[in-house]
Order: sequence, then structure tokens, then C-alpha cells
Amino acid sequence: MMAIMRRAHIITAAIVLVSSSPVAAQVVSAATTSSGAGPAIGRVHLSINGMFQTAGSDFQDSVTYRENAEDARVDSEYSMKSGPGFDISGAVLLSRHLGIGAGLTRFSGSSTAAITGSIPHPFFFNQPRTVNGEAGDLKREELAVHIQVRGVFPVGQRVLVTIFGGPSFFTVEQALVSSVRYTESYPYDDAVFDSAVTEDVEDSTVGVNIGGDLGYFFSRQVGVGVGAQYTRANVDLESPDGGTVEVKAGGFQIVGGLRLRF
Amino acid sequence: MKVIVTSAAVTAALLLSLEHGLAQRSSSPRTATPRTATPRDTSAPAGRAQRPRTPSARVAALRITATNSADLRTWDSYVTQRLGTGELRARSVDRDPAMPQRTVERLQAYHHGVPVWGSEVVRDSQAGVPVAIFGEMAADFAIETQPRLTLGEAERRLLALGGADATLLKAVELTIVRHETREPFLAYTGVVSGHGEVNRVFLDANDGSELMRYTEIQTQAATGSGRGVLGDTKKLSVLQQAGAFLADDRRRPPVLTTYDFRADLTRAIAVVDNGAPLFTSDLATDADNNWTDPAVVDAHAHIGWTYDYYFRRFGRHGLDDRDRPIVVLTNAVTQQGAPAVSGSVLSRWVINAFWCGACGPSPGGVLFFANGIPPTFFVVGSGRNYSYFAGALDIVAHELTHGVTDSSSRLIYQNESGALNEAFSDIMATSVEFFYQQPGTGPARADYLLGEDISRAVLPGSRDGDRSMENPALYGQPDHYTRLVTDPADNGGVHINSGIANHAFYLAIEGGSNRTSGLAVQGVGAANRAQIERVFYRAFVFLMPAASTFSTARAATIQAARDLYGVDSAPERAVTQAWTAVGVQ
Repeated sequence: MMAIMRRAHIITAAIVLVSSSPVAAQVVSAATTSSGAGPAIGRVHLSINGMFQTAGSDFQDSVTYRENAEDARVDSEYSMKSGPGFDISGAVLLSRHLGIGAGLTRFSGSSTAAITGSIPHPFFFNQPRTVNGEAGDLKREELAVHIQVRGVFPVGQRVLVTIFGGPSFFTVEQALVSSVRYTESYPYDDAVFDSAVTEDVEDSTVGVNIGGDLGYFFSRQVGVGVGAQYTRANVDLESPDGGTVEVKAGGFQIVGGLRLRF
Repeated sequence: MKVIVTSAAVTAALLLSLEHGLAQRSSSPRTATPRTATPRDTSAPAGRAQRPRTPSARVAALRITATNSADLRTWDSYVTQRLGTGELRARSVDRDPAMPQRTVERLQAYHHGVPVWGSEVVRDSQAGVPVAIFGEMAADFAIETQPRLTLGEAERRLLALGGADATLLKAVELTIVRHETREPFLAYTGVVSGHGEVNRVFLDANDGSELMRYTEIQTQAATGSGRGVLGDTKKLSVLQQAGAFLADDRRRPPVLTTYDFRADLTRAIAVVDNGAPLFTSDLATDADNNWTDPAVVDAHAHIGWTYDYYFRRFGRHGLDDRDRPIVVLTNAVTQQGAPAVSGSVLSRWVINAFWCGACGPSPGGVLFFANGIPPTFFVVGSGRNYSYFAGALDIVAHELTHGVTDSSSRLIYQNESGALNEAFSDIMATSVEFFYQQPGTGPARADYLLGEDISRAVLPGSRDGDRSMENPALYGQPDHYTRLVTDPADNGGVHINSGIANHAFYLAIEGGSNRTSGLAVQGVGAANRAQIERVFYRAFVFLMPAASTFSTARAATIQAARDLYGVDSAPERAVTQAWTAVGVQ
């Protein structure tokens, strides 16, 4: 969590730097020269949104670990839940309809895992007991920085339609089941699932984002808007036993919030 | 190949149960004595709080037990007030999955901002209403909480105590420690790993001296593995303690321990014959839980398996059906040391396995498995080499079954009852083999031979194993009552005449004809062997008197078959035919 927060601060700072860099100054200058013909849509656009991400792709993982002098195996089928998030983005217009921007989304969700474990017998080789259970509320944190090429289309003075797309840089933190706790009693022919032991793992990768936004401005600079975007990346997380588990990050996102333009 | 013993010793060596005592000592479990209640702490609320009796304590503990409404009101107020002042601070808030409506707060006691070691209150609430409050707090005391020693210096001193490779496993923290015999003290505490130990150490926070320590390694059951006499790998249920693994099975219901005499025959004799106590240091041990001593591996594993067989097949809890401790002894004499010992030592401690109910330290009863002789030697007379006796599952089960008989029918160990005693051990031994091993011939295969896994033919004409239930005559045993041996040797032929009952058991399962009478038996078949096992178990454990004869055994087993499977059932017919075939009426 601290790593994610720290990364968020760094990325936010990076966005601000992009906005205030000499390059940004040049593109603002370019937008200024072309903005006189149509509605005053501003040169710099900011969006601050609440976000709702629909359920992502399920995935599965298998871990093995030593238990009772043999390898125990735990297979977990993870089901992602939808959840809320936060989205902020900014863009600078290079021309009347074209801009570049950057955005950041943070998604805090959870997943459940249907678990099937094969637990070695404490007295005999090759006589595993099967346990079944479920782990709920497994943490899923996604932080994504999006680089976007934007198409901006004003509709009258108050409505602004934007479409965008580009690469995304994802960092995903996921709680993965590393082992199971169980209860057993002599003669240990059966074991009953008690709970799952989880481990938070994290990794980063590159993906894509695409979407659209509809803004309505009450004034020259302030408005509200809603949008939909689709982000996706495949992340190879390190499984608790050292293997790799492929997780699909992102998904379909509905955003809504404040729109600013300057 | 070398000859090692005389023919007289051979006879003794072939007797797997030389020390078969009949007496037993009853165990006397200890009962916990509750601590005496002492007057209430007058400075505390008037709920149920007690100071335990600690005559030399400088600062008494305030023990809180509030479960009724009056005490709960009092102590809830006490807790709430101290939460407000910071004297209690939440350490954790949990929900027990078994009672999800409850909230359990664990509150750490503080004194002027410094935690008091081990002083805490637990408040169990439902919807904000306390249901129970338990606590162990220090009564009021005064102490300076500003240490003269810095945290960094405390860390350095703690590391120095752990040696060159020491590490601190947890953050060092300042705390106040209540002590039963002295004033509370301000201390730095940390967990130091070094010298092969992991200890929590407390340093005086003012002068840096060590005040106390205790190990952070707690014992726990563990599963190890090891290679047995036959080269097979098996699991061992052991105890992990202080960085080592001990042959102390904490997973099975009884105390089941395997001791290693480490070739100290004098110590073995002192323990077995004179009841010298066994200590933890006598337990077989291994550093990495990958056990390499085949004698220990097989003795510990096979005894556990045999206990399991009795439980799974008959629901029996060990030797006395009350989980009496099972004490296993190994390694009195090494194989290499065997050629140098006397004949009497050889027959008892080298080529032998025994159960002795009257031997060993209280509560009595030990199993011993010898290591046998070097592979290049053989025993005169039998022409066989004997390896580690614990390596044969049937031998281990045979000896443990003597303990079962000792706790049940107590069949007198001479003449016919003695032969039945031996036969029952053979019957259960073979049953255990078939329970765990695949039928067949060769090492670790279930068959009707006894001891064949460690008793190997060397000279031409000799045979693997010591007895055959399928054909007792191959090993000089009678297969028919008309051939009963009445010689007074061997307690009236207890190891010889057992062949008659052994063969009856075999015929009741497998069927076939007796070679002497020619009478045929319709056995229940190998798939139904459990029926005959249960019949013989019920008869020998519950129905037969101590002085039973073969005729008594016939009647008891037939009755047991009727009890378990009904009159004229297949098991009853098989058992009846089998006894008739071996000439027992």
C-alpha cells in the first residue's frame, strides 16, 4: 500500500511537470493560435473523477509448498469483483481538435478465491487429503498512468466530447493465496479448510487505454462530465511459490466528476 | 561369512519375545492444582479481581475475570476510563469466526507511555455491550520511564549477546517488566538469533545488563522422513524443539516415544531391568528432520503404524485401550559391536525384539528392537542373518500385540495359553502387514511369513523368516493338534505350538487343506480378511481367559464370529472348519 501511495505521488508530480514543461508551453502556444475560430474550449483540460470499474477477468494460480514432508498443492480460482476508484487526467490541446494528455487511475477492488488444496497426510506418503474453501476480500490495487492522444469535439458552447487512447503503465498489487490453514484430528484421514494464508505481490507492466468523455460546462471553465474507458494490461505476478501467474489488470471503467478547462 | 553364536544361543535368538512380562503398573496422571484465591486488590474496582499468591512479589498482578453483569459494569467502566487516559491502548480488534457478532478487543497496558510487558485486558463485546472481560494487569507502581541507555546501544548489546552471527529478529522496544521477586524494571527487549538459539532477551534500560531471557522457539509437532532398514522412505511423526527434532510422536493420541541408547548397553540394562528413568536427552534425535538411523526410523514409524492399525480396524486405543504410553528402545548394541558380546547379551540385546510389561521406568512397559548382526555373519542352526529387527513391520506389530495381550486376556505364557499368546501376536503381525503392504513375496510385501524382512537365509537349505502360517512345518512348527509339542523347553513350546493357531487363522482366510488332516476349509477370501481379523481380535482380547487352551480358542473365535457376523455366517463356517482342520475341537 505504501509503495502504491508513493508511486501515486511520483506520478502525480510527473503529470504536473508535463503540464508545466517547455514542451507543454509550446503546445499551449500552438493551441492558442488555433482557438480563435470556434467555441472557447480552452487549451488545458483537467478531469477529476470518481470511477467504477466493472469486474475484471478471473484468473487462477497454483502454489506448492512443503507440508508434512511432501509437497502440498493449493489451486485457487480468483474471481474479480467490481469496485470504486479514482481517476484524474489532464490534456493540452495541440490544435483545435487534437491534444495530448496524461491520466492516472487508481482502483481498489477485491477478489474472492475458490480454493482446492491437496494436503499431505502426516503419517503416510501419497495419501493427500483434499480441502475446499473460499477466501474472500483479497486485496487488489491497480495504479495506472495513461498517456493519451485526445480528440476534442465541442458541441456548442457548453458540451465537449472527447475521445482518447494510448499506452498505459500499470502497477498491480494482488493478494494471492500462499497456503491454507486447516483443522484435522487423528487419524488425519480428513482435513477441513479453515482459512487461507495470503501474500501481497506486486508488479508493473505496459497496457493500453481507450475511451470517451462527455463534458457539460456551466461556465467557461468549470463543468461536469461522464465518461467510459477501457484499460487493459497483462501482468505477470510472482506467485508465492516462485512461479508466475498472469493477471489481467484494468477493465471497463465508468467515470464521472469535475471538468476544468483553461 | 562368519559363524557367530552357538546353537544354544540360536534357540534364544529365535524367540522374539523373551522378556514378556505379565505385571503392569498403573499410570497415575497428575492433576493440576488450582491456584489459591487471594484477597482483592483494594485499589481496584470491586469486581472479581484477585491477586495470585506470590509471597515475594513486589508488585502484585491484578487479575480480572468479569462475566456477570455486576462485574462487567464495574470493569467496563475501569477499562473505558483507562482507554481515555492512555493507560490502556488497543493492540488488536478481532472477530472470532465462530461468533462473528462478537468483537474482541485486546488492550495493552501502558505506564507513562511505556508498555507493561504482558499486562493486558481482553474485552469481548456484542453490539458495544461487554460480555466478558479478562485481564492481567499490574497494580499501581512507580518507575522512572526515561532510560539512560539509548536504543542503538541496546541493539548493539543484544547483538553482542548472540555471538558473531547474531541477528535481531524483531525491533527492539522499551518496556516495563513486572517481576515476581523484584521491583518492576525498565528494559529494552528484543529477539536475538544466535548460537543456534532464538531468545527473547531483556536488558536493563539504564545499565545495559541482561535481566532475563527465554526461548522463543516453541515445541510443535512435525513430520520428518527417513530411510528405513529396507531402504524405503517413510514419514515420522516427531517433535520439533529448540532447533532439533525428537522421536516423540505428538500427533497420535498416546505418548509414543523412541529412545536411542547410542550403543550404551549398560544404560539399556539399567533402564530395562532396573527401571532407571529415561530423559529427553535419551530420545532419538535428528538435526534436520531427515532421519538416517534405520533402526530409529523403522521402530518409530512401525510402532505408529501398528497403533493406527488397531485404531482403524478395531477402534482400539493402544496397548490398554486407554492410550497408555508406548516406550520404544533402540540401539543397545550396534551391528558392528555384536561379534564382541557374550552369548547372553547376544540373545537378548542383539538378535531379539521384546515387549516387557514389567520393565522400564514407571508406568512400565517397554518395547525393544535389537540391531542384529553384521551382514557378513549368520546364526548357527538357522543359517540366517538378522538385520535390524524394527525393519520388519510384522515383528514390531508382534511385540506391540504382546502388550495388548498383557492388558486384556493376559494369556499365561506357558503351554497352550502361551502358544495362543504367541499365535495372537503372529496373527496381528500378519494382519498389520496385509493392512499396509501389497501382497507378494520379497521385502516389504505382505505374506504369511514372520520376520522375513530382516531374517534372511544365508546358508543353503535355510529359509527367510522365522515362521510360516501357511505351512508351519517348514519351520519346525506343528500344523495340527496331534503334533502338539509338550517338551518343557520354551515354556512348553510357546513359539512352536503357536503354529497350530496360526495355521487355523490362515485357513479361515485363504482356505485350502491342512497337510496333516487333509481336511479342506472354505476360507472367507483375502478380500474379507478383516472379518477373520475382527473375529480373532474379539476372541483373544475380550472373550478368552488367561489359561485358555486351543479348545477354548476354538469356542471363543466361533462365538466371536457369531457375535459379529451371525450364526452360520461365512466367517463362522470358515473359523469352525479351520479349527477342525487343525485338529482342535
